[in-house]
Amino acid sequence: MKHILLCGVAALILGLLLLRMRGHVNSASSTSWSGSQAAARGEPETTGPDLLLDPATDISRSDVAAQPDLPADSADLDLAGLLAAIARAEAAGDERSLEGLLVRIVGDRSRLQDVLAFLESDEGQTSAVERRGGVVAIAVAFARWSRGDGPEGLDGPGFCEAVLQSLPRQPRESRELLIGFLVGTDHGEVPAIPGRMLPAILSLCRQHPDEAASYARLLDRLGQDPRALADHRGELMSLILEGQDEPLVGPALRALLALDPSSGAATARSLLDGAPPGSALQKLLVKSIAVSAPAAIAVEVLVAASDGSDFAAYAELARRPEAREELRNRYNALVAANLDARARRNLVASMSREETGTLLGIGGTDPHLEVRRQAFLTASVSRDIGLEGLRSIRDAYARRAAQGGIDARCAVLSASNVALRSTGPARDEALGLLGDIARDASLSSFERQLALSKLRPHVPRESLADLEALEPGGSQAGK
Amino acid sequence: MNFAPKHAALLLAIAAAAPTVTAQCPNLRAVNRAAHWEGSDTGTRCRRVLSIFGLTIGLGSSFCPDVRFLYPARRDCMAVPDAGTDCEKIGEVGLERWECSCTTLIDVDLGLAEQSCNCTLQGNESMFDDHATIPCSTP
Repeated sequence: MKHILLCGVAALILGLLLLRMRGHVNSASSTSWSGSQAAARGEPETTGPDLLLDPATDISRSDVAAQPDLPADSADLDLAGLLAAIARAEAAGDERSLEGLLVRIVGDRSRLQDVLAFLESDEGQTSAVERRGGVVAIAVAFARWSRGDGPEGLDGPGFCEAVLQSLPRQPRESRELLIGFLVGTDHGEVPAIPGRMLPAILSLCRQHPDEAASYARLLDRLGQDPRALADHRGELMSLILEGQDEPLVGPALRALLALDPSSGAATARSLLDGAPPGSALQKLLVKSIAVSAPAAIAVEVLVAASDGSDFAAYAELARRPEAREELRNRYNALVAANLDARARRNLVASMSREETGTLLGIGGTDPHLEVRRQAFLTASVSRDIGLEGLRSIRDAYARRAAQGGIDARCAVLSASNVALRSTGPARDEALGLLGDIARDASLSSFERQLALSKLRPHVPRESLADLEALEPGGSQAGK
Repeated sequence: MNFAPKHAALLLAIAAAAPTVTAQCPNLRAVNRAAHWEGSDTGTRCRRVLSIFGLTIGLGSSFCPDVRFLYPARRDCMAVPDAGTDCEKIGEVGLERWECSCTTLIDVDLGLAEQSCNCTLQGNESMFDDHATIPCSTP
């Protein structure tokens, strides 16, 4: 009994000594991204999801030997072999093997440094499979340690900054793949890239303007979690106001609008005043405002600043329920006074979630042809408008020579939309209208050929035998 | 070099031989605009999700917009000067709307299910004017 007690006490003392030694080794470590530099900077050591603090998933405490399902002979693999094995496990979606392999890198500070050096090496010396394995390992380590200290006291955020700084030194293929993985890694909806990486990302963009569009993807991902950038509003604002780094303006503006829609919208509007008409910057501003600005402001910008070709912005506005009443009211006010047909057309193009009857009504009554055309196209492209809708198109086309109708081109494209989206009698009538227009000798060959091109995918070739002359090179082509 | 009368005569002859450069001619030309895609900012990320160490890792992650528009190739009037010609509308071309979502594809060789962004044509959303460069007619 005495012996058992003595053994127990000895084991306890030995265990305590080992723990102290481990702590000593940790505190003595210091590479560029080792040691708890986050604490020295006075930053919170963990600001992210609690999973990073979960002891059950902390690789640094994992026992490699106890990892299940390790591939046979994997212990003997050199770095390249280990990375290739990681890539294969990843390709097979084998999570358990992948964990077993990754733990040797993600939990080992010097191995992480080796993998970064491996990714920076000349493509000729490494295989694509090995590089993919390296990218997977670094992305997982990045996600693991970006918000806290890693194994052996590794400074997690410092390591992540080193990963970002390594990107320009990597061959293009590795760099793009790693950026893709960093962007695509998250926990739930929280991106792996923490907000405190913003200065490092901006620095990359500015130091390497030719590759800024690639690095801007990191910023864009960061901006999808506005909380991550809550402490960086000032930097976002100055980035937007500088306005020169176009790849960065969009992500910065989206982030700012998500954080603070009112002040973000005010900033975007002031920029819009100075943006050259039709420029990429103007289009970007209009779209960003359509996505996130308060609905009244977004509709106002659509009316005042869109040149009529911002269809992605119109689609963004259409999907916002709170904008629908604003769009409808604005249209009604303008049409009552018969004002600004261009603005009315933009508004109608943004009403794809409006009721079918409302859109068909605009198509039948608006005083301006462009607006009527847009109403029929918006209605027919966004849903199955059925037989009633097709008949509205036919009626409007029948009035083409009179006030309030639509021309053959609009009738063709609208009927073609119905043929794509409808079945049964509506589709049959749509094909019938296309056939009528293709056979109408009073129309231009352009209009007839357009109808024929929309009809052809839906009907047997022999049913169009009488229209052969309309085909390019045919006797009626070009008339 | 002296500006001899014969040079003046030559210049006059050249001017006369180019009757398209008239006061009425706008002296503009159409400019080619290549077809291009524009996507919405709103969408989803297509990815194959693996759970490793409690992390959700999106592999091969790519952004998939809810909707994309295919702007057709066309010629536009953008106030580009060109002596003796005008930029005139000759027709219209359609803007296509494609709706997109993530779909799972099976890589038979690797036995791997990959997510990719798949877009389906919904039809024509609008029309854009197409233009051409037309010589100005002689008055």
